[in-house]
Amino acid sequence: MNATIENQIKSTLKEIISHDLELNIEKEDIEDHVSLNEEGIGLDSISIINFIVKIEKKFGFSFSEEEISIELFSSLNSLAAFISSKTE
Amino acid sequence: MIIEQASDLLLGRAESSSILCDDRHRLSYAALKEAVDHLSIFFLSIKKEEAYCLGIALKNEIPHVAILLALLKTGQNFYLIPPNSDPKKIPDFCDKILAFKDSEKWEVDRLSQWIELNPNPSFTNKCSNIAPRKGAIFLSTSGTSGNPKFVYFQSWKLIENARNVAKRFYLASHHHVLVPVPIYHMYGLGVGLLPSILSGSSICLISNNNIVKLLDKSRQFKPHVTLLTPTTCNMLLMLDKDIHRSHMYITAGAKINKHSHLKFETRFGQLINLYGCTELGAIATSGLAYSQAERLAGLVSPLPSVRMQVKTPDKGEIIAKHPAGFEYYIDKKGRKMPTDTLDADEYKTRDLGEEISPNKFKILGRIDNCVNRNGFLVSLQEVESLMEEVLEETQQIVVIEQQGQNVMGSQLLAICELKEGKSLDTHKAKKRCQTKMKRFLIPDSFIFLPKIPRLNNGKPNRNTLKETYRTINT
Repeated sequence: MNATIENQIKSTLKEIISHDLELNIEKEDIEDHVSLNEEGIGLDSISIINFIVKIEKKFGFSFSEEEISIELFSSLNSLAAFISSKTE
Repeated sequence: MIIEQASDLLLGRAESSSILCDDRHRLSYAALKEAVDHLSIFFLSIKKEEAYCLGIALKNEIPHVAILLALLKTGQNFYLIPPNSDPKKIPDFCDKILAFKDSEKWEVDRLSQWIELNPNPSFTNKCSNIAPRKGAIFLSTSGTSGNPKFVYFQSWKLIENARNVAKRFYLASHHHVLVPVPIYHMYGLGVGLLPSILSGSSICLISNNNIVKLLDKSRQFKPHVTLLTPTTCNMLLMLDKDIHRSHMYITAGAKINKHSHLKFETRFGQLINLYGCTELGAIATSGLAYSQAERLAGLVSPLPSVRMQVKTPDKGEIIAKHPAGFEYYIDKKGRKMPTDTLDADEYKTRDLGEEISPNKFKILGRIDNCVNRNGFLVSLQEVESLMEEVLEETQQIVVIEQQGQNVMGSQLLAICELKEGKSLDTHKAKKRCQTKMKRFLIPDSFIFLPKIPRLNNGKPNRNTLKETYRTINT
């Protein structure tokens, strides 16, 4: 059950990255485990801020300062697990 | 100043609890000193050629810092290569390039695990005896026009410069300094890393900084001092989250506008403006005892032993006399270049400024970015900053010079990016500007856009705007 929800979340996150962040990345090229940072997809600060804003809007919650961490934003897997726990 | 003396000072003042850390490493000062001593033996052993100059791409990582300190200690000549530089563009005066392998480990007695020395393919023997023989540091200028030129610093002057910064900020061994700006650049090196080491402060380096890393490290490291750029300040405001508050934030480069500065201080803490350049390092900062109004106005006072002056009574070019500035420029072959910015000890900054009160200066922008209006030299940055104060509906304003002249002189166009949901028209904007600005400072025409084209770093893409709007009749 959780896995299905997380997969749906990951699909939405990929949608946001490919459509809303103006990064020229196709949805199907984004892998779940790849880092969102410079060694992976390469989201810069502006893209990360836009990403956070879109996530908060789409999923209806707000990240607290303590929740924004390198680990959380290391991959879509970790991010989806977190969003799933916030929206349960 | 003897180089060895300077390098000892680099490692002399730390408390046992002071540490240096980055994304992957954490080290005490004692361990760093040991590593530097080991590395120094290596560098002394390879120093065989008189014109020896190492090219090194320094990243914000502890092993890189150890190498840097060993190079300083042994008086090596080295050039700080901006990361991701085209290998073909490494200057000919570097005979070797020190490259770091991507390795977690960096044992100082197994150097081949983590560094390698490669010859520079473009090195030419003709450079011999041109570059200085010992203790020379070469930095790229951040200028974007003309042929590449390199700034030659004597290492002891770089350290003297850092000592000046440490004095201004009263850095001490119990302080934590967060350095998310690159240390291959004068700001990160001369304002962040070296003054902190001189003071024995704990240092946290962030490599490839982004907003998530900055928040994460701020929370963990609890800095007293954080180095930022204007873009990062604006991004923190955009993100609109609380962060661990530093006692002091330092920002260098173009000043953020008054509204954002006030918002930043209200939300996060004191934001100090730093004025400097690659050639001189830090020149001036907002004083720590300044009022908030003075910081917001962008006033700066020269650092200890630095003198600043504006030679014309009103506004004019800022001239700085710095005891620890660069020596001269060299070209890619290591030849001394003529410089028209250095006259005796006085350095012409090419910045327009104004002395507001004794020893308090306002930096108005690059002279190259000035136009003549009504017989006055007007900085376009100053116009933007004045407009941003009165046009609250805008979140970014770029003023460009258009083709042709009018009765005022150069024709100015203001390109205004509106905040979401806000509207403004030329008539209203001009009326509002007239309440606070002299007539000749008010642009002739205005356009309002929902979004201004931006570069990857978030700054407006001025070149695109100039190309698009230079000849358009609005």
